[in-house]
Amino acid sequence: MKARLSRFRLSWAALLLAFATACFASPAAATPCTGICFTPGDYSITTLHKGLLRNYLVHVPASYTGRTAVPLLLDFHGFSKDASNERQWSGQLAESDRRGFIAVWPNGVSLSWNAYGCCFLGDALNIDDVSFNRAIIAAMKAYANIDGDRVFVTGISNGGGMAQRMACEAADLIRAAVSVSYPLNRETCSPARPIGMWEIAGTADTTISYDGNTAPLGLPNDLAGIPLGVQGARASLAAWKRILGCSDDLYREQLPDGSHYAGSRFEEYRNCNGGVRTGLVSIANGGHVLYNGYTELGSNPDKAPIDVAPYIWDHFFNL
Amino acid sequence: MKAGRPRLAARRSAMPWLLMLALAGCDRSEPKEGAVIVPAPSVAATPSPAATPIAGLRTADHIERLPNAAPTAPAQAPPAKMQVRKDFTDPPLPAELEDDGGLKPLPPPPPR
Repeated sequence: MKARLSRFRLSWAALLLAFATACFASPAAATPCTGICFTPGDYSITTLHKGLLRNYLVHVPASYTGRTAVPLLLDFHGFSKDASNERQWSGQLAESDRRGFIAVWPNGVSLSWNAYGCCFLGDALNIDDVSFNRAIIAAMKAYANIDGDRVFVTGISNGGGMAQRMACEAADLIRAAVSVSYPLNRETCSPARPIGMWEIAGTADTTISYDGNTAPLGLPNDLAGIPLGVQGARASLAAWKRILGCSDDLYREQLPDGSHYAGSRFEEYRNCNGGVRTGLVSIANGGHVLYNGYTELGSNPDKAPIDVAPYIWDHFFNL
Repeated sequence: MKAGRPRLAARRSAMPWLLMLALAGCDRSEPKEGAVIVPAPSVAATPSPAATPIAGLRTADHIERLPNAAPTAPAQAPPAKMQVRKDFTDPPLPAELEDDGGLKPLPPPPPR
């Protein structure tokens, strides 16, 4: 009996030791997953976040083994679109397979993001999309071996605004961000640390004007307390220059000419706080949706002179 | 000896409950982000031809493995138009952003 009791006490001691170890051991920044571990393939994850059922799609490339930490990308859809649409058109699915990062396409509430100045219904309800996206990053770090120093965000239009907002409010988790066709559109932005930020914008964009605008259709600038209009792409770059404390030195590059897009350019501040960069790719005569191959909304699928997804990885996320 | 067995048996039957309580109280005191919970050890996902929940899951997340190239149904566009607000005035552009710096000038904005 004494022996059995002794074994019983020993098992309790072992249990308590395991419990203490599990509770107080500090987790490593990037370690192989030990719980639910993603293997190559596609996933749909639904979670309850702040009282709302939220969802996101995940692509784990075929090259992923779990033994090596890989980058993570969050790619935000535009207004009135969803994660599936962004996955289909942004080009990041193919880049994930080509470069080995894990790609996530979150879904906004009611096909919208609460990003600076836009869009209904997300902004009207003040949905906390920043915390949702932060939660996704935390979950992905649990499900896969993620390199915490190479977490990136991008998105188009309203999703570009979400990328801008994440750069301002989640820079502690994110290394760099690229917005396609949406400026910062915010007067104040205080990233927790310097972060790389770029925008790709078309000069012929009639949805989010490259040059910015005031209220549309002759409406007053302030409509029943609701200000209308949007910041220009160059003003947005100027704002990021101020935020990141960049010098006045501006790198300029003429992009290869296409018959329709002649005059496209890349400008970048390369001397900013923390060694980060910020810049603007201007697609001359480019419209709102700049993804190669995009054919919705009657769009011309030829988006020369750049293919957005590989360009982003070659020039901005190559860290 | 006989009197000790029921006590021991009772202790053993209570052990799983105590373990559950202990684990439920395990908190690293890091900020929680919504309802996403770091999953407890469980089986890894296995390939499947159709969307299937991952078995043995012990997490608040519902995870489905999807068949290739068909993540979800396409979204239906709502009638609302993208309406952007800007509630501040930008300072003038810095000189270097007003200057083409030897590049071809950008085309003028399209008529509204």
